[in-house]
Amino acid sequence: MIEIKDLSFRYGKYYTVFDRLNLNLKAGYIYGLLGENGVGKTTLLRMLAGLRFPDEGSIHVMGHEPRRRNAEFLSDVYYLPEVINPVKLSLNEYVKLYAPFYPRFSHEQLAYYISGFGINPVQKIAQSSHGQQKKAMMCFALACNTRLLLMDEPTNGMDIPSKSIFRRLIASTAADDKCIVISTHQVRDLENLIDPIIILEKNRILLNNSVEEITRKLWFGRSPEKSDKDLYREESIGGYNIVGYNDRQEETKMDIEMLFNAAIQNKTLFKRMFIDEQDPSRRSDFADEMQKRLNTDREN
Amino acid sequence: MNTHKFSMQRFGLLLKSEIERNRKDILVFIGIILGIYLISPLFNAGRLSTHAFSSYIAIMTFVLPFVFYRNLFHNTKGVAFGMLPASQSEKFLVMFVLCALVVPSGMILFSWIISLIGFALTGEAHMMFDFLGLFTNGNSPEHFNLGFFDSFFWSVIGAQSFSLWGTCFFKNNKFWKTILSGFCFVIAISIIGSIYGIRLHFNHEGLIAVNDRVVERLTVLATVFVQICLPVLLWTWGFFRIRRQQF
Repeated sequence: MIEIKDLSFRYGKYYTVFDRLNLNLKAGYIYGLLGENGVGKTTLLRMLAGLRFPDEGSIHVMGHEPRRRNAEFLSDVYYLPEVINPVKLSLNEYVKLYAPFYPRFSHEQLAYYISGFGINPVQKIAQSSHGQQKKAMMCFALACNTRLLLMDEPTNGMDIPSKSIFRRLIASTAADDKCIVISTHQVRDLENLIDPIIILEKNRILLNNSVEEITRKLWFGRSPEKSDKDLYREESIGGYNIVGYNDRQEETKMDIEMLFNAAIQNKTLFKRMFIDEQDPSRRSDFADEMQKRLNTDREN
Repeated sequence: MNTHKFSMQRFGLLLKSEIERNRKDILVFIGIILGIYLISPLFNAGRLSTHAFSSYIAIMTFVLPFVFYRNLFHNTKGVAFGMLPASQSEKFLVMFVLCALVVPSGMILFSWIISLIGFALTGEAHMMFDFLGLFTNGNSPEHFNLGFFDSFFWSVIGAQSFSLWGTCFFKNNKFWKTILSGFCFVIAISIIGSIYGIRLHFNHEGLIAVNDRVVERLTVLATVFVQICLPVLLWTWGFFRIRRQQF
């Protein structure tokens, strides 16, 4: 569905965001786009939506070049930005004006989402709280039924019950012909929802794998002792939360936050393991990386 | 809905949504016209200054694109319009129709109605009262005559093409950047004109008599360029620019 080839993008002359980035996203999945601040998550979403253009390389979304912003492409893509421009219309008025642009818009689904979030469709969107505005626009976005849905930090500003409703609604809207890309820092909000996971790092991708592939290679769990084999650990009551190699092929439950921190601390290792697909069981391949990381740990 | 480059149905929907989105600003413009009509005579010995009134309308028409599309390429406020499923030609045409035809025509029609009411009450007629005259050339036939392209309406719309261009060309600070560009353009044209004028007046032997026909032809050329070519050029440039702008 999305094919990115040798994508390069710079802000100004010197700030390179992407340098020959390659990425393929398939229909039928909810992708989680993770990364530290400034690695280009929003820029990537905007490029997929056609709001920003690549400096070099190509992007093809459903066979279209997004930069052309043609009507057919735009009617099949919805981009929900992190900061919403509050319109001086109620959701009902907004739907009346803009729903006809989307050929697959469903009023029944809209009613379901509105009742799910418990928002008032006759209240002016601009007069609602930030969270309510986001929920209103999310209802509209989901009801548009576009084949590509891009969401930038969708759970920012939402209260706790709304976050679980959001997960439920997103899960219900997923379909074989749809692709949803969610960029977020609030990884806990999307636990059990996003699969595959993409971790962006400056100029490159550290990981673009399904949860199954990740848990096949990595072990998530608790241990009372720390070990040199740990890729990442966090102290917790009575021991440590750990991400390590899954050399015993155990099935464990992935913790996205732990995964993200492990990836950030072991960038080269992750790239080799997941992008270059080197076998982590052949420990000697990674020994140098491991040693480097341990040395850094000791220095700190 | 069909997904061709231009769909009349989608154009209609887009125009409707843009009128609705800018409804408040349109009402403010109408309110300003009414305010000027009612307040202006207080400062002008009880009479409405015809030229002042039409100038206010011209100024308002000029600034329309800046008001309606001030956030055209804004990275948050402009996203909704940028992502609307319509082709770039439909979006530009809607901008053009709204700024150059729908709202100015609405303002003129409103001015004409209040002028008509004013005439019925006071017996005083002014420029806006002559509805058809706004769309026809006021020059006498012996002068160089461009017909509709010399009319008050076209002159205002032609001038507005510059602000519409600025709205599409600049990402932020649209108004001031456009005004500055205008100044630069006028200065450049003045310099070129002066150099050409000097070369026309003087040859290597000194001052020569200027041929009336040459001056007349130059005037015709300049008028056609400024009145017709320049607005069309600016609209076209604006259209191509909107396709390349990023958010």
